[in-house]
Amino acid sequence: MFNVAVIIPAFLAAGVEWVEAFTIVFAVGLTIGWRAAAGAAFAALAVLAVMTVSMGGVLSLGVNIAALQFLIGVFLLLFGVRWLAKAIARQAGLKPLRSEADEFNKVRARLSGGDWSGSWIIAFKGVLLEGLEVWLIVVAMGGHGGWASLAGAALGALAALAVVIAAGVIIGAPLARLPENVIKFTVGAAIVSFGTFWMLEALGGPTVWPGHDWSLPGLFVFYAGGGLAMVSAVRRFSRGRSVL
Amino acid sequence: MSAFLKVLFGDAWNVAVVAAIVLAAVMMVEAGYPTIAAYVVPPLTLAGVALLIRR
Repeated sequence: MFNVAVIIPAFLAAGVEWVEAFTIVFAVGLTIGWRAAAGAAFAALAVLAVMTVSMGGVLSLGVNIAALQFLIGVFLLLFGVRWLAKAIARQAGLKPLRSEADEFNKVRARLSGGDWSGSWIIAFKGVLLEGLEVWLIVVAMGGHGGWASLAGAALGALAALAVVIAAGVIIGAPLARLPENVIKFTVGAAIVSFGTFWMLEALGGPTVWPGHDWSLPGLFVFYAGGGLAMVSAVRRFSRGRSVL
Repeated sequence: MSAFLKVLFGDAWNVAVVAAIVLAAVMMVEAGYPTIAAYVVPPLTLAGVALLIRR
């Protein structure tokens, strides 16, 4: 019933986004109360659920699989290259590492003096935008293999949501100690691998990749290895410039 | 709306990089070199990632 292969990547990718959404909801909850903040979060989640079910309906209409695969591949590339580039930049020190504690303080500062409806909208928009990225991952990873894959990816994303909420409630603070950049780097490399694989397979047919499906792990190693090499190259370059 | 589009597509640089990768793949496949594209597209994609690092 579920495609297990997509559950773990969807879980990890969605987990990162849910942590960011949780930080916003947590800050809003402290300002206008938990019931209102949770209401805003659930309203956003309901919109995302409707979008996911609608996408499943579109898939069951029997659209051209090659065209769908191409579209999904391009979307995964659009998504993956920026995740990977951002994670490399952060790891190499070009950009500051994202801190949930800092994000929490920023949202709290925005909320100070704000009204109830303004705060509610911040929570709704925050969950909707972070959740939109989750929706894209679920559709992109699940759309390729029909209902079983879509259900597997959705299950991974829902499991991540449950874990983040449970951890957040237990800790009672933003989840600041997660190795977010490592997860983003790994998932970014995986998403770019899937994107490249599907985009080219849709264009050139199933024999285009040497080793067929076995090319996927090869692509992951290539992108992850290339990304790590870039991190050390950028660090060396930056150090060299600072000495001069 | 702009926040929504940015989540979907990223910024202009992101779109340009992916468009270049896809265009290269389409051209190679249409020219009759799909198996060579399998060796060209991944390094090209990594080069695109390198371009985006400083953006």
